[in-house]
Amino acid sequence: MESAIEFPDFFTVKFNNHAKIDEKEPFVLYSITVHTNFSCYHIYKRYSDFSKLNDRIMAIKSEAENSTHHDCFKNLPAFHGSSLYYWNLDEGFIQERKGQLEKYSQSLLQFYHKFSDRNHHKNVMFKKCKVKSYKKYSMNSVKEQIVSGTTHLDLDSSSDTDEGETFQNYEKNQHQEIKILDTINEFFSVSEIFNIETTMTIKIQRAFRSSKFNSGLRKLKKSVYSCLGYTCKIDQLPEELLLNIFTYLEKADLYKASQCCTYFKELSFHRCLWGRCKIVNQKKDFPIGKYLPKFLSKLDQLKVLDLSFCMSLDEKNIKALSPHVFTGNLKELYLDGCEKINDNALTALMGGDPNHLVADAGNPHLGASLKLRRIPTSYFLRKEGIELLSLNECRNIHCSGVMKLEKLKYLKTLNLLGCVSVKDDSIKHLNNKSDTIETLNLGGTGITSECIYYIVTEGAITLKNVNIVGCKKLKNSDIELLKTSGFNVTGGEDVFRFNLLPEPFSGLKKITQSVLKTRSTLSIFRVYKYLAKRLINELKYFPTEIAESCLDHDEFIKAINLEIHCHGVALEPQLQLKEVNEKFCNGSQALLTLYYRNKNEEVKFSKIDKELTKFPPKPPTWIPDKLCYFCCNCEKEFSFFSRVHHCRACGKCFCSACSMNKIILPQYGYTTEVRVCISCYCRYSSSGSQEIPRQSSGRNGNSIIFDGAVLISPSGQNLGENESHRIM
Amino acid sequence: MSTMVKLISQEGEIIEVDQETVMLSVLIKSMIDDSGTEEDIPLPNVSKSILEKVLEFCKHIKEHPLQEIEKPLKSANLRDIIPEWYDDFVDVEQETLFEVILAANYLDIKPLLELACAKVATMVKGKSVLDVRKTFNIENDLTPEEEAQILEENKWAEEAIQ
Repeated sequence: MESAIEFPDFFTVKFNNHAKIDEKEPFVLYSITVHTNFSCYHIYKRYSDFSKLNDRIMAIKSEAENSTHHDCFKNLPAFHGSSLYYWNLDEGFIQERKGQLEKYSQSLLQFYHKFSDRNHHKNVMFKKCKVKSYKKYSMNSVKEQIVSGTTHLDLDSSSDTDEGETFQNYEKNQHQEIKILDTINEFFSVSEIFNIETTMTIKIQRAFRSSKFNSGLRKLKKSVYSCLGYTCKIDQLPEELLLNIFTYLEKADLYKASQCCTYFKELSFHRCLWGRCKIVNQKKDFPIGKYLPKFLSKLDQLKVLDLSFCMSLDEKNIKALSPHVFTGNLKELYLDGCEKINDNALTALMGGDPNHLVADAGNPHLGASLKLRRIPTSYFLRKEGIELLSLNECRNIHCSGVMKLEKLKYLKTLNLLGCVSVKDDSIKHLNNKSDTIETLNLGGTGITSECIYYIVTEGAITLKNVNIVGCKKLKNSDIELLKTSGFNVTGGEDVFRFNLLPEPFSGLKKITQSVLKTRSTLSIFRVYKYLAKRLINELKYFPTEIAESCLDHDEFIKAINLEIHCHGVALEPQLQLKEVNEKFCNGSQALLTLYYRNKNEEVKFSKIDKELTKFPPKPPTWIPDKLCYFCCNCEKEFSFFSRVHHCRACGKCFCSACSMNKIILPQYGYTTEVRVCISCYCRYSSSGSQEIPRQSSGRNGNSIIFDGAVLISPSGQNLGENESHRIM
Repeated sequence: MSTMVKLISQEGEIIEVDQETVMLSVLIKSMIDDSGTEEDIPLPNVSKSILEKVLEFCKHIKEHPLQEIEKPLKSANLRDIIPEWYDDFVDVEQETLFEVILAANYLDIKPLLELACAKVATMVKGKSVLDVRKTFNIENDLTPEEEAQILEENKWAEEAIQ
């Protein structure tokens, strides 16, 4: 392609971002947007490129020393030489250097513009020169030029020389000028990208990706690939595109792909391709222990691992699995029909440290503090861990093995179909320990009526589905009991569908009622404990109406208080209290009433209390009258004769006797004396020594007595699950 | 009447298209959202021939929606999975296909990217290692030791893992 075209006589540059390229000698690559009168594109330069450019210009300048035009080179900008910190990759330094380079480039281009203008004015050859074109920077032609080494100028000797100057003469004089223009032009044109080696492109891409300059990356990638001259091959596709292609392949094809070349080998074991994996092996003598550890170490992001019927999987080689059990990535583990798995194998499988999760939780600070406090892991950590464990037909598992499974804090489904040696004890134990289990498949196990009774009365409240197909020791009455208690029972004479816990809180009343009818007092507390837990987490969505309906159940209040308390101690005090505080303000006001009804536990809750009263400038929200049934201090019931009064300092409800004091509260904008409750009076008034009158009421008899010594041990350690059960 | 948008290909040629058609590209959409339809949209990374092909796809998909292609592929023949037109559309030379992938990635056109990637996947699916190398002209840069090691490790896996 050949066409008459001018040099771009207009350039502007803008430095965008930069990326650190991790080579043997790391360097910084700057992404620069160049606007010309033709187009706009990006170039990528490093410091040494600029340095070389300067060297070349200086060389040309020294050549021109003797020519008549040498004076015009005086305007060339000075270049900042490299300093002592040549390898400094510090962000501040890079920014500074970036500024210098930008300034340098701009002044260089000013020189360029001035120069080309002058030449233009003189009506010299720029008009006439023929460039073996890179018309609008068509990549192919530019590449041709570079390859063939042609210069940009192909002078047309037939050009007019109006001013009487012969062309040759002019060329001689202007030679250096043109050279400089040419150099600058070349530097800021897209052609420079060819200097980046092909192998480098991937590294550059990665660097730009890691520095999150996506738009820059996209442009770079594209220009790199187009500069490769459109001989695009599959192994030159960017990583993510190739991965996308690989997602369409089956595992066997991935294996084949891994044998093609190193790039494929790297990619075909990428974590995103191996979410689910089934290993089929039915040979008894297969040395799975030899391969499994290596295989698993490659695939740390596995979500579903199916090792069903791996006959050779035994207590020795199952250890390879144990690190994966608590990393939080593995969600489902199938070990169906693995004959050799026995209690020892399960112990080995659970051998990992469940607290590993804590340390691994991403935030090292949080991890450390949590570990220190030894709180029940299920509370605040990321909700990840094995959710499904299938041990169907593992006939060698006994009670002690199943008991070990309590370490799986997020287990929702446990299949023990056909595990004939599993008996009551282990199921009871699991039910007692688990907060999350939803489905228990107990078909063919040796459980008895006693176990069913336990499940119904004291079992995990989350449990919904029970499969008891072929449990020979069960009677019809047991199945009836399960059904009437609201479980999904499979394997009885019929399948009943009765959802125990419908979606979030709809039908909560119904549950409460049905539980009241069928379950013992202890199990009511379990229900409440569960609700309270959810309530704390989902407070904003907890309907006032339901909270109100729970008001009549003292057990619920106990549970809530316990929950609040556990939370209060377990999280970082500042953050936590603020959170509880916010939740109480924004969430259901009824809960405030609930909460303060049990305010007798002043000592333990004083911390939360203090935070709650620390409402910033605006006065506290008043608890609506209709939600206040009792005085927050003496617990006297409100009636027509004993009206509700609100304390201006804390917003809670009191009877007139408990709120007779008046003080000024400048912090809330009350400049005259306003009504406050007794405790606020003590807190805010200067005297502060007044004793809080306490009146016992009949209702107090039922309220739970928290034993401070148990809840908060002197060392600040929180109660574990065990203790909380004991309190109940 | 719908608005026309001017796209400028790598060669600098202007292609005028219906705005509705090109809105499939997230990149162009965001550019239009930013600066309106008045301004030309420079696409310096897409050559004219590829741009035309991409636009052909955009026009077709408007009238004949393409279902998402299931992963992993059920068949090594795309025709079994998607309408014939789409199979014909990507039944092109490898170079063009990769360019289409790059262009689809650059322009952020998900269905086209998926289609082209699936097409490449069919070229790998069910083929032997040698075939794959030959098809894509891949240089074997593994040392014999490495190769032997992969073979050893993978032999059981190829049979056992699904």
